[in-house]
Amino acid sequence: MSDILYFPLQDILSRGHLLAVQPTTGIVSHLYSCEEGPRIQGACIATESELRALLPLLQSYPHCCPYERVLASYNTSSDMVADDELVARVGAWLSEAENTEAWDTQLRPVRNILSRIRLKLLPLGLDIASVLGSGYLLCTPPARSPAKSRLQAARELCGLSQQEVADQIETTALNVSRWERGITRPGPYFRAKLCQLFGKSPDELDLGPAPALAGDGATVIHELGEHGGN
Amino acid sequence: MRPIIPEADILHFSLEGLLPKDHWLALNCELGTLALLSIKNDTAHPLLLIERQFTPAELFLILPLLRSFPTYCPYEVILASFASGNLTDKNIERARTQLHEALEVGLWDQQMRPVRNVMARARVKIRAFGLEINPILEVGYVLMPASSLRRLQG
Repeated sequence: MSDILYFPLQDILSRGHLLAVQPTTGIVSHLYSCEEGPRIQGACIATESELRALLPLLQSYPHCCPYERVLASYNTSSDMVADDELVARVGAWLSEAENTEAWDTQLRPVRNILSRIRLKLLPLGLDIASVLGSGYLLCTPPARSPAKSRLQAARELCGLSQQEVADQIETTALNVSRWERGITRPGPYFRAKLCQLFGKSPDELDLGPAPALAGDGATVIHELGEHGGN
Repeated sequence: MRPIIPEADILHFSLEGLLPKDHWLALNCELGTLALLSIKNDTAHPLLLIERQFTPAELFLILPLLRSFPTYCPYEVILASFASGNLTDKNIERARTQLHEALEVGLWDQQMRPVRNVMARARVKIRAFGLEINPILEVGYVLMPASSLRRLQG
C-alpha cells in the first residue's frame, strides 16, 4: 500500500477522483467513489521509461514541469524521480545547449515517450501539453465538440476554404484545421491576422488565450506526437 | 449466452462476507488486473490497497469464480471458461460431456491438469487479497477467506 502514489489533480479530475500510480507495476488507475463504493474508472499500464517521464509531471502539477526535471527523471537510473542536484546539472547543460541541435536531440526521446504515455492517459481524462520554452504540463484533454467552432463558422460565412485562409495569413491549411478543431490555438501573431481577416475580435472568434496558461503567456501544443518530430 | 468478456472492461465485486465492509474488488478485463479498493474513512476518498496482474488464462479462471460467489463454481464452468474464454451454455455442456467421458475412462486428472496448474498460479496471486481458491472434491472451486482455510487446515 505504501508504494502507491495518489494525485488528486484538482481542476483536471472531478472532485473526489484520484489518480493512483504504482511505480513497481506501472499501473496507473483513475479512482473515484460513488454511492455503491470505490470504483476504478479506467487504468493503463505504463512502461518504466514512461513512468519516469510521467511522475515529475504529476508531482509538479498544477505547475508546469520544466524540461530539466523531466529529462533528469527520464535519465535517472536509480529512483523514479531525480534529485535536485541532478536536475540542476541537467538544467545547466540544457541552458548551454539551448538553440543548438544537441538540445533537440537530447529531448527527443522524452518527447517520444510523453507522446506514448499521453495516448494511454487520454482515456483516463488526462492530457499532456507542451509549454513552449518551459516544459510540460498535465491538463484536461481538449474538448472534441462536434459543433462548429466560431472560427470555422466565420470562415464559411466568408466563403473561404481552409487553404484560402491559410494563404491569406501565410500559414498552412493544416494549422487552420487544427485551430478550428480546437487541437491547437493560434499564437498572438496569427490571432491578430485572423481577427483582421474576418473583421472580428478574438472573443468573437473564440480565440482567447488558453485559460490554464493565460498567466504564462505561453503557447500550448497538445499534439506532442507531431511536435516530437522536430 | 453468457459471454465471459463482459461489456464493461472493469467489473466490481463486493463479495459480501468475504471482503471487509466497504472493500471492493475491481477486475480490469482489458489489462488483466485485479485490485482491492477501499474508502478512506475521514475523506471518503477511494484507496487502492493492492493490485495484481493476471495472465489471460488466470483471468479465465478468476472471473467465473468471482461471478459464482457466494456459491461454488462447478468444474465444467471452470473448464469451459479456461478452454474457450467464452462462457456459453453450449461450451459449458461440451465441457461437462468431456469431464464425464474423462471420468469414465480414468482421465479426469489429465483433463483437469492444465486447469489445476494455472489455478495454482492464480491462487498464489489471489492470496495477497486475503482470498483463497478452495477445491471442493468432485464439485468445483469456491472462493473463501484465506484465514478460514488456514483454520480448516490447522
